[in-house]
Amino acid sequence: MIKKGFLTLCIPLCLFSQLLGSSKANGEISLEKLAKVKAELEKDSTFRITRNALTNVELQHIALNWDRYVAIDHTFSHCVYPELAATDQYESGRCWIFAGLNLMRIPFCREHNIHTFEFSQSYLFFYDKLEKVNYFLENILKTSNESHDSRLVSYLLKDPICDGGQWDMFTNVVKKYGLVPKSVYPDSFAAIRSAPLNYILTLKLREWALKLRTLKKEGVSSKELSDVKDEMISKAYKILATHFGFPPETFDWEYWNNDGDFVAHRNLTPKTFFSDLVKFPLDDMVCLVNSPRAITPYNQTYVISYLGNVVGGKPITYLNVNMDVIRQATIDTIKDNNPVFFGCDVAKFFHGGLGVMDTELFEYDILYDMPFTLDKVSKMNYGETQITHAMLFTGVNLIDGVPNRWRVENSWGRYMGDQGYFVMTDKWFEEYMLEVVINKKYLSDEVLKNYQKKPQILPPWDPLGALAN
Amino acid sequence: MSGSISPDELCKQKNLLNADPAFCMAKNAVSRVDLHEVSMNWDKFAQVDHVFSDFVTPELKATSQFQSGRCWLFAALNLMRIPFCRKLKIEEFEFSQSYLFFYDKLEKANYFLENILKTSDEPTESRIIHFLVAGPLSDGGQWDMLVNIINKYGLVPKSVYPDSKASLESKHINYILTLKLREWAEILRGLKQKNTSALKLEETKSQMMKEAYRIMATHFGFPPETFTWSYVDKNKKFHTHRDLTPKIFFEKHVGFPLNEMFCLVHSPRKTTPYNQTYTVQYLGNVVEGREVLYLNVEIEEMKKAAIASIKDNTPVWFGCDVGKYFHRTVGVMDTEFYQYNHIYNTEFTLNKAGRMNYGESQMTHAMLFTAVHLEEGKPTKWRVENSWGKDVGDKGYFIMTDKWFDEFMFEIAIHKKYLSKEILQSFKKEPKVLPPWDPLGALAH
Repeated sequence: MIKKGFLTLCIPLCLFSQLLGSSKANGEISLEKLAKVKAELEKDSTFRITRNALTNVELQHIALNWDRYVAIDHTFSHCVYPELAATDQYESGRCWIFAGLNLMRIPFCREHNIHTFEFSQSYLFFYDKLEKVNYFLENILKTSNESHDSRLVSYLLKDPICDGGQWDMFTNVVKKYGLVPKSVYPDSFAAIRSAPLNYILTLKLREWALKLRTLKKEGVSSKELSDVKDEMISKAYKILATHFGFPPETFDWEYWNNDGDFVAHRNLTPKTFFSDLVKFPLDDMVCLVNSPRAITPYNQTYVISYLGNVVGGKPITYLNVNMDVIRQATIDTIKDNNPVFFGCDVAKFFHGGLGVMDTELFEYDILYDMPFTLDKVSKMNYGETQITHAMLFTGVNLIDGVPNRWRVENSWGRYMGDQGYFVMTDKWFEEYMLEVVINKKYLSDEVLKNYQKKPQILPPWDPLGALAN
Repeated sequence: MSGSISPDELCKQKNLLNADPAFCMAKNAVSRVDLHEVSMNWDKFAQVDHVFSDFVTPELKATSQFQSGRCWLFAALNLMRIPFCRKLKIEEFEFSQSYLFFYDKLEKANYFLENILKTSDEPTESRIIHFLVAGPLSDGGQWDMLVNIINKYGLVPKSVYPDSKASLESKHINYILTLKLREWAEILRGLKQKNTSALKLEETKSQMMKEAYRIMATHFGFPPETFTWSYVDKNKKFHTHRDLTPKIFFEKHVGFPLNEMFCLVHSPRKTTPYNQTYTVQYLGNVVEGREVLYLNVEIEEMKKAAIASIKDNTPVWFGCDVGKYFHRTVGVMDTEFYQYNHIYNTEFTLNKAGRMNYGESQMTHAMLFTAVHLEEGKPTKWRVENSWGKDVGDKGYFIMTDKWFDEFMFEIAIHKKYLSKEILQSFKKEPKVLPPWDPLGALAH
C-alpha cells in the first residue's frame, strides 16, 4: 500500500479516536471492539438460531420466504398462443440467440400451422463467433495507439469471444446470414459446451492482437495489414468449422402440419428461408432500456462503443425510457398475441428449480437483522447489476389492467419452473428488468420520435454494454 | 464495407478445407467429443510417472478446499503442517483453514472500505472504482496477506474450528457480503463528498464493520479465543495442551518462521525488470499489515531456491496459472499434454510475456512443491501437493513438468536461508508500485 497518501486521511481520525478512546487510529480493525460485538451477539437468540442454521445449510434454503413459496402461481390472465416446448441452451451462453429464435418461432408455428419447431441456434452461434473475431481484430487495429494495459485495450482483451450478445447483434447476424431449421444444422459438442472452443479462440485472438499491434507500430502498409487480418479470419473460420462443421448453404425443409398435410420447401438458402418463410419484421423492432441513472437521462438514445459483431452492421442502439413505457408496451404486445424478447439480471432473488423471480423470495434482511438498501441506480453504478440473461415474456396476469406477474419462457430445458416456463413478479420486473425489444406498432409517436434522436456514446464497460448469456 | 467478412471468400475456403482429410478427421472428432480428450497426447499420458528423486517427508493426506477459493490458505497451512507433524511425531493433522478464512474476509471488508474512503475523489465510473467494486471480497489471496492474518490472529487446529457450510461453498456468503460492501461503498462515498466529519465517517464505518462481523459469525460461528488441544503421537503417547490461545498455539507449538520468508516472482515483461522489487496498489487485507512485496527474478533463480528448499526437507508454497495444459484427474501440468496445434494445423505462439500482457495468463492457484526429480542435477519434473481432495492425480498429488514450470509458474515463497546474498540485497530496494489490475496483482484461489 501507499502509506504516504494514507496518512493525510488518518490524521483527523487519530484525533477523534483519542477522544473516543476506542477505535484504532489508522482504520484497522480493533480487536477490543470485535470482542464487545461478540459478547452482545452471543446473548442474542435470533443470531444463535440463524447461526445454527446457516453453518449447516445452504443460505437460500434458510432464507426462502414460505409465504412467497405458497404464493407461486403459474396461471395468467393473458397468454401468447401457441406455447411451445421449452428449449435448452445447455452449458453455453447462447440465451440471446435462443430468446431471439423463440420469439420468431411462435408466429412462425402459427403461420405454418405446426406445433413443434426449433430454428438452429448453432447456425447463428457459428456466424456470430466468426463476426466477433473480425470485429475484435478491427477494434484492435483502431486502438493500436493505446497501450496494452490501458483501460480500453485491457477491456477488449478480457473476453473477446464470449458467447453473449444483444438484440441488435442478433439482428445483424440474421440479416447477413439468414436462418435454418435446427434439423439441418444440429448442436455439436461446442454448442452444448462452449468453454473449450472459447479457450482456443481467445488464445488465438490475443496472439493475433499482439501481432496486429506490433505490425501497426512497425508502420506496415494497410494492404499488408489487411492481408494478415484476412489470413487470421481464415484460420478462425477453420477453427469454428472444426468444432461445428460448415453451416449449410442450401437445404430442403419438409414437415407434416397440424391438419395432417405434408409440406415440402425445396432448394432453400438460409436467406430465402428467412425472407420467404419466416418473414419476421426485424427492422421494425426497437430496443427500450431502463437505466434510471443520472448520467443516462430518459427519452435519449444510446450506443455502446466497441460493442458489436458485424462490422458495418447496425450499431447496438437503445432508447432509455421509464419503466411504465416498458411495462405498457410489453402488455400491449402480449395482448396482441406476440411474445417479447427481454434482458434482465437473472441471478437476483431467483430460484432456478422453482422457476421464480421475486424480490421477496429470500428474507436476507430478517436473517441478518439488517436492511439491504441499494436501489436500482446504485446497483448499476456499483457493479451489482447489469443485463446477464435474455428470455421471452409469453404471458401476463392483469388485475384491473395492472400486472402483478409475468410468464417467462426460458431456455434452460423443461425441468425447471413450470415445464421450463418461469414466473416473474411485477416488483422484480421493476427492479431487475433492464431491456425489452418491441415492434414499433406498439409504441407511441413520442417514443418513436425519441428513438430517432442522435445517440449518446457510452463506454463498453457501462452496465448497458453487458452481454446477455 | 471495408474490414467486414465476405461470404464469397468463406465459400472458397470451405471448398479448400473440405478437400483436406486432416481437417475432416479433426472436424468429425471435435464436433462430437471434448476437445481436451481428442487432443490429448498419448505419448505424454504414457509417460506420466509419480516417482521422484528428491522428496520432502512426511507426505500427508491431501486436503480439500471444496467449492471455495481458499487454495492459498490450504497451501500455506499444508506448508506448515509438514514440519509441525515431523516435530511432534503426528501422523495426520490439519490446521483450521476456516479460521484464517474468517479473519481474512473480515479484514478484506475493512480494507475495501478504507480503499473506498481513499479514492472518494474518483468518479464512480473511473477505472479504479470499477476495479474495487468489481470483486471486493473474493476468496483468493497472496502470501503476504496470509502472513498478516497469522501474525494478527494466530492459528488453531481444524478440530476446534471445523468447516461450516460457507467454507465448503463460499458463493452465498460472498454474494451477501459483496452486496453489503457495495451498499456501504456508496454510503461512504456520499458522506465523504458531503464533507462529513472524520468522526462521523469513523462511526459509520465502525457500524458497517459490526454488521460485517455479524454476517461472518452467522455463517461460520465465532472463531475460538481459547481452546484445549489433545493428540496421540506415533508412539501412541497422549498429549494435551490446555488454555491455548490462537497466538500462543502458533508461537509456541507451530513456530513457523513466517517473517523470514520472501516472495520471488517471475515476470519476463519489459515493464518489470528483473532484480527489482514490486508491490501492488490497493492489494491487501490487514490495513496495518505489511504490503505485498515481490522480487522479480530469472526463472532459474526461482528453481534453484525451490530445489535447495526441497533438498533441505522443506516444501515450497507457490503460485501458478493452473488452468493451462493441465489434466485434473490424471493430475498433470505438462505443456505438451494437448496437441491443439495438430487439431487445427496452426501453432500457438504467445510467449509468457505476451500472455501476461494480453490477459491470457496470471496467477490463479497456489499449491505446494513437495518433491523434485533431478537428472544430473537438473530438474525434469516437480511433485505438487494440491488441495482438491484425494481423488485426483496421485492421491491428490500432481506432476508439473519443468517446461510447464518455465511457462506458467509465477511465484514462490521461500525461506531466506535458501537465497543468495545478492537476492537478499535486492529485496532491500524500494519497490515499484504496480496498478491493481497488473497480472502480478491477481489473487490465487
